[in-house]
Amino acid sequence: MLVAYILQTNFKTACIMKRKNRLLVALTRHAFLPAFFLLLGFSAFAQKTITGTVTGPDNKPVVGASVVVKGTTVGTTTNDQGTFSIALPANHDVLVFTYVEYEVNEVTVTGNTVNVTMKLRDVTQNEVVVTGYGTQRRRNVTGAISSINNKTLNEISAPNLAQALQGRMAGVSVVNSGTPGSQPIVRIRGISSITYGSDPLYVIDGVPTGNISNFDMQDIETIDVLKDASAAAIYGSRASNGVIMITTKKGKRDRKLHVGLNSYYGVQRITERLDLLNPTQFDAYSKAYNGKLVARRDPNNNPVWVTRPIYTGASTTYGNNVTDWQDEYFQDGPMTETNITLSGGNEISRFSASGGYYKQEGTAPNVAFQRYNFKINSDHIISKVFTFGQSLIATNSIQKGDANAGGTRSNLVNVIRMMPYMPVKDPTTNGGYRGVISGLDGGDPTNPIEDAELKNPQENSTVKILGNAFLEINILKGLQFRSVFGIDYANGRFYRFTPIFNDSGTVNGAISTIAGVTDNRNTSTVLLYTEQLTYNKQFGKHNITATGVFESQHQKTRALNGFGNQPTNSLRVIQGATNQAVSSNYGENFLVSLLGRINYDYAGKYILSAAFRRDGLSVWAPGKKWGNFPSASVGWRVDQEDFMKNVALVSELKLRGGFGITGLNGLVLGNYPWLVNVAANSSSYPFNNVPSQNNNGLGSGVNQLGNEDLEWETTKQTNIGVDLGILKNKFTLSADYFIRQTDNLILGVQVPPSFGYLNSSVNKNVGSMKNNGFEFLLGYHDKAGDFRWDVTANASFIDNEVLKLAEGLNNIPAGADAADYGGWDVTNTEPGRPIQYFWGFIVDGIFQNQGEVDNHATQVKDPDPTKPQTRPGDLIFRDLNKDGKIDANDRTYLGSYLPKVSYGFNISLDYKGFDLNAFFQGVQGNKIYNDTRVITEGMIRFFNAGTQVLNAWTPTNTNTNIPRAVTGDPNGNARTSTRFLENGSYLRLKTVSLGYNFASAKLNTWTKGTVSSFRIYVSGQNLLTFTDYTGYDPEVGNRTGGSLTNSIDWAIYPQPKAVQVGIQVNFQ
Amino acid sequence: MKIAFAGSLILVFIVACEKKLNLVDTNSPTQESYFKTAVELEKGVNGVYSIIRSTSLLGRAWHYFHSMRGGEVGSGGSQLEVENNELLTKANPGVTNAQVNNIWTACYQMINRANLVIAKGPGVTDDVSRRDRVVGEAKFLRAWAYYELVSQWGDVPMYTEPVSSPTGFKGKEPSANIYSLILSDLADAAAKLPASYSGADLGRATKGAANALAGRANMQKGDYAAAKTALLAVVNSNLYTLQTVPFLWNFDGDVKSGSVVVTAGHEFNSESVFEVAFVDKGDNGFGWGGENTSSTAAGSTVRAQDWGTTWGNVVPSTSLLEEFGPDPVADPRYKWTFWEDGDMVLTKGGTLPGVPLTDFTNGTSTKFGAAKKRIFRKYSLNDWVSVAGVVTSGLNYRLIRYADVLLMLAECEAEVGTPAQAAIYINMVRARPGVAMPAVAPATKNAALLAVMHERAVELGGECIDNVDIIRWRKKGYFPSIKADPRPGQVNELPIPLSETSRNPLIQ
Repeated sequence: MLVAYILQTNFKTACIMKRKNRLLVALTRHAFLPAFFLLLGFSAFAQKTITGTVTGPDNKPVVGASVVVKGTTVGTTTNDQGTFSIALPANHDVLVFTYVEYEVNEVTVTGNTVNVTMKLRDVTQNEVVVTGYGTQRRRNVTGAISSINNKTLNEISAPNLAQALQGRMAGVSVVNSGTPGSQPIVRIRGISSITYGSDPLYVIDGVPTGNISNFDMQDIETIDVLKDASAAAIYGSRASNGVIMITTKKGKRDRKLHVGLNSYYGVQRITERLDLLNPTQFDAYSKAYNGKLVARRDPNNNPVWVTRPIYTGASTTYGNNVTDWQDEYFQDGPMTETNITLSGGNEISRFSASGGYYKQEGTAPNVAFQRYNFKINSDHIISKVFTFGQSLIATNSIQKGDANAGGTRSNLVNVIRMMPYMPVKDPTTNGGYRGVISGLDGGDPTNPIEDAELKNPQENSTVKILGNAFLEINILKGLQFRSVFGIDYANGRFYRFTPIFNDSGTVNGAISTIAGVTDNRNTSTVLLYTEQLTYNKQFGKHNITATGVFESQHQKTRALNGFGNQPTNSLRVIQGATNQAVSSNYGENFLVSLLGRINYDYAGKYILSAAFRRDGLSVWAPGKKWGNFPSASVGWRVDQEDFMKNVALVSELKLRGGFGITGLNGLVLGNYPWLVNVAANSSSYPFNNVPSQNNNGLGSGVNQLGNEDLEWETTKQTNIGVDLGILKNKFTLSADYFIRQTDNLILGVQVPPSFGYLNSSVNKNVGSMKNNGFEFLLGYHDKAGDFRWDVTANASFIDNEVLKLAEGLNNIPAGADAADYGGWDVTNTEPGRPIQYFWGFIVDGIFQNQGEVDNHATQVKDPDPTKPQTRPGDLIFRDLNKDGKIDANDRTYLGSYLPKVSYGFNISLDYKGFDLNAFFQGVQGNKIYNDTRVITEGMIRFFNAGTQVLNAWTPTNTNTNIPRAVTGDPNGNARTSTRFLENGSYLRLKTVSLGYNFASAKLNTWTKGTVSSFRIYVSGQNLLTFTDYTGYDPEVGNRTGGSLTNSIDWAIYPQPKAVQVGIQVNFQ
Repeated sequence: MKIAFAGSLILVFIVACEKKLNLVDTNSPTQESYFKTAVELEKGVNGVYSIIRSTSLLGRAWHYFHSMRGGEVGSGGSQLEVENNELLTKANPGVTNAQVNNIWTACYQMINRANLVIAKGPGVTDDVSRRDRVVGEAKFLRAWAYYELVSQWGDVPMYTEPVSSPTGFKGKEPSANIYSLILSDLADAAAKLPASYSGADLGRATKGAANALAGRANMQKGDYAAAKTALLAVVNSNLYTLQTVPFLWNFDGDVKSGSVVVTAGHEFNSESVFEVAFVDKGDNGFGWGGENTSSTAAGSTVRAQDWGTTWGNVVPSTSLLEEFGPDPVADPRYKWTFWEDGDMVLTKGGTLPGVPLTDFTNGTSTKFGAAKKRIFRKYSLNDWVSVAGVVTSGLNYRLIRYADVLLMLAECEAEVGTPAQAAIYINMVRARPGVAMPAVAPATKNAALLAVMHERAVELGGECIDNVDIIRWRKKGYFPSIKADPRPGQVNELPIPLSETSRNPLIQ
């Protein structure tokens, strides 16, 4: 009845929340105490003293091995000669010997001396992977799971988790954003959702969480990526995009205190530059484009500007001032991280604690990320029945950013467009920066440095607490109950101050006569309860593990947003502000799950695994709240068969196959995606010329269509794989083939504007999409004397095809940007093609004479024959449907952003104390739509531009691929076409590091036993890139965050090159 | 046994947890609970007004849309944005033109919101008189939006109820049916709306506005007799006059310099039949694109900026300038319509000597061969406040003013064959105090029409009205029989935007 009682109290806690589980609370309160107890040491009454020596496989003494009397707290360690002496209490006769690299050895004492020879642990045989609600030995795994261990993580010192993953695992694609502290785009086995980001689920020590940029890499022991459905389906409705399981470092049970210090300092720099016009070239371009100089540079302009100082008191004039806006904008970004870890343990308790600090300045003005983090976890074997453990991670992060960084006219767009004779700063203006006057300067860019430093600074700070406590009860032999209570709490603050300034320019945003304060708060609390029963049983050669879980996850969010205007820049709070506005909102969601899993194997040869999860999620409409997510997989360890035992060549051979159904995390749609309420008081009108908040002018409306039929996107995935090891696993190969089909795809279907909703998007389950692919991981591990090397290589080949779209919906265009990029869609999504393929016109060269124009299809209808839109020097667009006119119907498939191959290879070399690691990563066979070139050479409107425009077609410069320079681009030369489509393949030396480990024995002597290891290293990121791509960076992220605008390069921040120097020291 | 018991407990708690899955949004009222009272219904119609003043309509796009399509402006230079330049220079704009898309989209937003108010009206019983007025306003605004659509596109989809399903598509409706809906809406609105408002309701649609719009719609449809009836109802209400309203008061607004009121009484004056209200946000920030959903911000307009000196996007067209005749121009409205290089500004309505307007950045415009820098004075702020940088303003925009009503009536009289009657109305406009232009006496229909055309140009130039006039006159064949076509070759009906045709399977 104890079980029933505990179950009952826990379930009541889970469901009702008001009653706390007293046991858990009591244990949580005392969670920290055992961690300190262990520092005090343990003692017992001696009955009998045992001495002995511990040697390794090479017969050399093992120094510092742990020797413990089984079932007690009595223990010691071996000395410099490998010998030990221990008092054996009465009624105990077994000693347990452990040392890091060796197998645990239990010896029953018969005399007074025990000499032990330790055996090297077979890493591959006992390697454990985290599979969700449990672990499994790698050799028994039947799904597709990739792992990355602590050693690799240590060597690369990547600032965040996703960057550590980049290129290291087959089928895991990572595209980084150059902005510090922002989440990279992580995709496992391709893109599975059209409208929603295909982000994987992150699970830290069993607790699902969201943003992981707040998480310190140094706290990670291992990362396991559950790629296929048979592995991931245990996370059911949230597992479609794969699951990334993070296990934090735990203390070792070696009765020692370990202290580690990691610290590095580095700097990031952007070295890529576009070729932009200098002032003289700008003048030449202006003459070609406008037929005259801009007024500011024209000596014949009345009044004359060109000889005036750039501001009163300046030494340069508009005639001779030169500003390189790229050099002014890009800056060096220093970065540093320090982390201290303290860990230890014995056979009863163990703990690991750490504190870290991370700071990174961006490579652009006013962009920075800073983080403080603390962690402690511990677990304690209270008795044969009870084990208790806890984990607590607290972080405080501050991300400084630029509100305009991701806008249409991003800062980089303005860097390109700013007139090269304009000054950045002007001490005579209010605010100290300088803007353009469009009438004098010919265009209306904004000063990007002013934007970043003065107008758009913003700050996001987050306090996050991720904690969990668990209790394990060994009820019967083989039957274990585990109860976890976890909390994921985040408190965010957004602050922005927009000052009063006047940059003497005339473009929109050149002046602000009133300051603005935005101060927003939001909190999110997620409570997680997991109640789990695990049953282990062996019947002869049959091994069964059965797991049953009940789980609930409940999130509550609250936001409070405040705004006010202030009459002076010295008042930066909302108190006393005018136009005060405050609003708050509340959100809640609830996920309840029931799941079961059976793992069975016969003699370690034939393996079967089956799981079923049923999820109920509050975000769907009534009647659609529940979903079922089954999976099953089988494995055959061929190497265990008798006929293989004599095949020395093959050390491991396993065949695997699995099938599963998973879902898209419904929470990405928001809390109530099917429901549309009245947007009450959301609009206004100033009747009687009175600002609406002061009169009866507030307006209400319904701004969107709802959809009660909305339900989960589900993905069916089949996976077939093989694991092969040759020559004692000197060579390893892991290969997988998969087919993933996502049905019920949720699209934000665009309803026609004539429906009249402000938000024209309606979420609907329409369409399906297939990804199939092949991925492999090859390894070669060998050594010769002191020289050891590891080479691993991975590659994945993924085909994507959209199978079906909604009835009445033929295609989904995306990426149009009317204001600056010409207004044509850039991508299209339709059945039979890969998602968001590039869609536009095919360019067949340039019209060289009027005859060619006349003989070609009409490109732009000429209403007034005296003013033809298309002339010699314009691009020739192919008339695909041969109807004599070039229109929207002549657009076609131009290419896909999806690489044919994504690959990575890693080389690790160890020689005595030196270690060298070089990691290359690349993609092949993908296209990038280089929209940045619409800014540099599109000539839609007049701004500063790239030097390419100097090569524009003229009757005397006909051998060129740049069309004529003409106001307003009447022929639409900048429309989406093959003109701006480029090969996006690249190979990049992603990280390289060289380290030196000081010999531990000498260190021990020198430091009198204080320092056990000391590594110094230097590492670099992105130091080399091989590509034909002409933009800043072939690693193009996604400006809008949606799924249909990937690899459109709207002048996105490039990846910086970075170099760090660091130390890793362990004390004991 | 214990496991079975635990298992059954789990089932019990699953059932208990099921209730927790029924979470609903508590941040805003549901569609079932709202629009139950007349006050809520009034907020519904306020939401329709909020769109007419948005960036996509009178806040910005509408001015460009109509004047670029019309004949009264030229390009101020290379800064004229792509979509506007296309409307100005091409007779048939592309289906992706952003400005065209703005008008199309915003008009249907007004229609859908108005449809909701009209549909919810019968369920509101707590204050029947307010409810009826609100429904009348909704019908007026729906009629205005459909008038914008039908006059520019011809056959367009017609929705009379809020769209409730993602597949609730409508194909093109013949323009005759659209006009019928407009006219029945306006008849109903005229019956329900009061003749005038005071205080906090100033700015809402009136009976006069409904009748005036009915006149305009009938003219565009070609039914001049019905137009005349509707317009006469405006005149005969005796609420409107030109006698007490100086010409400039229609365009200079109730100007504030900082918090100091510079002018007062210029807005909602007795010449104003329907005007769109703006209040300057005061931060020189326009709130590009977002202000139609903001509940707290006052709405500014950037008309003064776009047509003004600093951005230099728009200058007067040669044909409009020459309509006033060679220098020296006799008609005082010339100086009230345009600023020229060297004109005195900052005179604060003529009370100060002012400073000369020089060194502004627009391109030049040409009048009888003479190039000179000129901008529109209407809806500019130059006379009142020092203009530097971006100029957002709270100038209300006159959609229908009484002078326009009189000139429409004149055109109706000319069309129905009474040129002498036409002359009466034209001369009422010409005789306004301060204008005092000599009377005209056209003898024939064509002479009367020519007089109307001239008078509309000099009276209403720069007010973005000539676009619909040109379409109406071109359809009647008056170009070139009476006058040269200001936009030769231009299509009367715009192509339906790609954003509609690519998402609406019933329109391809």
